[in-house]
Amino acid sequence: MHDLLKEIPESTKGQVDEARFHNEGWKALAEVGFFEWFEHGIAASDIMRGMESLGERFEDAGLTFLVGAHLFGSLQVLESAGAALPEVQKRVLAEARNGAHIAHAISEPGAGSDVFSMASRAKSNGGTFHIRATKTYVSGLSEAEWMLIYAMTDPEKGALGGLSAFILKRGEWEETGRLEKMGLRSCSMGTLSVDCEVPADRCVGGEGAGYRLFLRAMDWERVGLSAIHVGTMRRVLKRTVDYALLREQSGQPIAEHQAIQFSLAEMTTGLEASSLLVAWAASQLDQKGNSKERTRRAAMAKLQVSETLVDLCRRSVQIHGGAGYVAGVGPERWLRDSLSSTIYSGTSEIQRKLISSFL
Amino acid sequence: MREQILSLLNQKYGQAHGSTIEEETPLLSSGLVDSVSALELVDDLESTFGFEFAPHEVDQANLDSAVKIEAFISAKLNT
Repeated sequence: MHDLLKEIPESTKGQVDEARFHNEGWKALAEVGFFEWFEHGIAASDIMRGMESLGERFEDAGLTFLVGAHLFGSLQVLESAGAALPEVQKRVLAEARNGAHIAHAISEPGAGSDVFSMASRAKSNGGTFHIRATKTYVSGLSEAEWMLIYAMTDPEKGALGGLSAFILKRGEWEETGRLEKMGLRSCSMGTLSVDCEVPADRCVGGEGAGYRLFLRAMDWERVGLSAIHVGTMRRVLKRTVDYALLREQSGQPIAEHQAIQFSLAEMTTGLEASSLLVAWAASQLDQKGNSKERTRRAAMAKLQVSETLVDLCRRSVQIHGGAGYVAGVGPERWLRDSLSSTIYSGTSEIQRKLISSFL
Repeated sequence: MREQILSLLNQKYGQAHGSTIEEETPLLSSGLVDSVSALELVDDLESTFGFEFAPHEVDQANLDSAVKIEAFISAKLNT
């Protein structure tokens, strides 16, 4: 299915380094069926090969990040509930497969992504839920037609049984601010508040299902975004090698210098190790049971791949020299875009903490 | 069934507990089983007893002791 990307005109795969959504790219992906992986029951390993291809062929890291967040942080949550979904959620799922963006809102001003400290509340009133929430760092907020939002329905139970997920439609949340960022600029990010009553059939997976849905979504998102990063690294490495072969210094291409060769060797080794780690983590994603091993592998892939991406982009800037530092050539933007990868979907510190807990 | 559940719990978490897990020993509310391990416990219960938890059933109320786990599984298997 990753060959679908070949059907997309090259003109839509370019960069957008401004606070403007790359709508042409998103629409082109929807038109070739790039949001239908789960619907066709495609294996996780094949999905991840498709993501790698996306990262390699699409320049706009804000767009590819949003594709990963949409597919794995939001759409996968609905897909996992499958036939048991209420009618309204089936309609949302169908729209999302066709390209309607579902953002997800987890982080809060006082709690980050720590679901145990979540202050957002949803109170059951028989056939409805009253949701009061304040969320921040919501990616794709301005583009979202739907929102998957997490709130505590029973704080006394804590995350296990006390956390629930809800689907909101545009108009049911208020966008309270836009956050400008150093990278991924084509993907909006903002803050929102919610104070609304929704029917009970907007609760995903039933009241109290939020924690299990959230953890599974995090596993998928961590591996999915890592796969996209592997593709990005392939593109950056190729561009860097091309530059090193063309750029001459002291009468010879800089690629002839051992210092450059060594750095390129580190880059390609890090890239191939990342690719293997993603495949290793992906092989667990669609297995039944074994959730601890799935989470462990996803955390290890996320940690290693994101740190490698940042290192690889920094090396690319260094190899490009002055050309790498100025805007408009590429490496400067690649590095800015890469820096968020060690922060979103759980920081590197969170991944290390998680990984060490399994020892 | 209760013996099977206790055996599974003691095998996985008994050592960390420092003593034998009894029928009413609190698991989640005491912190003996953390939230990530709780999902592993769910996996083990599903494979041992041949059923699936719905997402909303992964709830402290169903998992906080051997007695509660047994009551939940019995009800689940009889529906």
